[in-house]
Amino acid sequence: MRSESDSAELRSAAARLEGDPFFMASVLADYRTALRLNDQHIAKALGCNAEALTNLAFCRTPRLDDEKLFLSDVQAIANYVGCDWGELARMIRTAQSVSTLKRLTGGAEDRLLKAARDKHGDNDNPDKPNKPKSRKR
Amino acid sequence: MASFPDKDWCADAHHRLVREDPTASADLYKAIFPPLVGWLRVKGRTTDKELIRDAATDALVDYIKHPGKWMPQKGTLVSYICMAADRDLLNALEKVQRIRKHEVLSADVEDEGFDRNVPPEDEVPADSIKNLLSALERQVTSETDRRFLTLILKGERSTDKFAEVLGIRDLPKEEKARTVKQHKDRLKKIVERLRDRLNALGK
Repeated sequence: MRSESDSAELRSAAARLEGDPFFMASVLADYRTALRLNDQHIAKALGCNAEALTNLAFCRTPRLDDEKLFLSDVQAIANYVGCDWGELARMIRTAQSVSTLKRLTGGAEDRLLKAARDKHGDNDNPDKPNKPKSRKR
Repeated sequence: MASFPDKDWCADAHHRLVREDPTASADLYKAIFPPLVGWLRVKGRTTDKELIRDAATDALVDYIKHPGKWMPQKGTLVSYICMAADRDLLNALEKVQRIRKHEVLSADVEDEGFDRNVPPEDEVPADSIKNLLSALERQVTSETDRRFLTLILKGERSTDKFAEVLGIRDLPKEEKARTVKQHKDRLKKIVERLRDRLNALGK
């Protein structure tokens, strides 16, 4: 069993990897930033606890260029972390899209991210135009 | 302190990494990072926790991304990663020292601007110079210090000129700059004290 200081050391180590796309830490960071979520939100969506997110952060990002390899990687990671693999796959694809959009778009990026946040039920934003009527809560 | 995993565990994790198992990196991180940080602390090259964590991270990430660099016949995985982390830490410490040395030299250059705050000699009232010099003469009795002060008052900016007065022209550049700066600091304090006293008298 891990000591409290080891756990803290590992959380800090995981945070250091957020800028490295090789690690899932970067996917988590992109997703968290783009959708303005915290770790508790993400853990809840994935069906795991916050400590499992540290384990997830150290995993290698799934191979994105081959659908079969992507799925097998996602399933292996979900099994290892103890989370919902479907949600994990969706999260990785969303983060990947956000990251690609960031690179390719300038002004449109904000609107797209706003739309993504709308989909996730963030209704705290007062300047939200065209509120979708059939939004999932 | 957490202990390192054994050879069999490492060999298994290594094979999983080579086979591109996406979870192998997580197992390696969890098993090796905490004892690696502990080992670097105990080794005592520095007490800077951030530098230690950076070195541990760099070594571990490099191995995870390039597992083929480790030659099992040359040593265990743990010793390979420890050596890499220690080397990274030494490099980081050297870099910090270089930056600090650069700051010392920059500070010296800035100090040479000290006299820029004093108007050029021909603009300073003759009485002030005379008073200051006679006060200095009483305070500064060593011939070397007098010649050194003369250079300061003339607005000399070359470290070599000051080094010549001190007889340390042949010292390495950094040591020379440091010694010159120490002398300047000492004499500047004397000058500042005298200046304050003269100002007080003039009021």
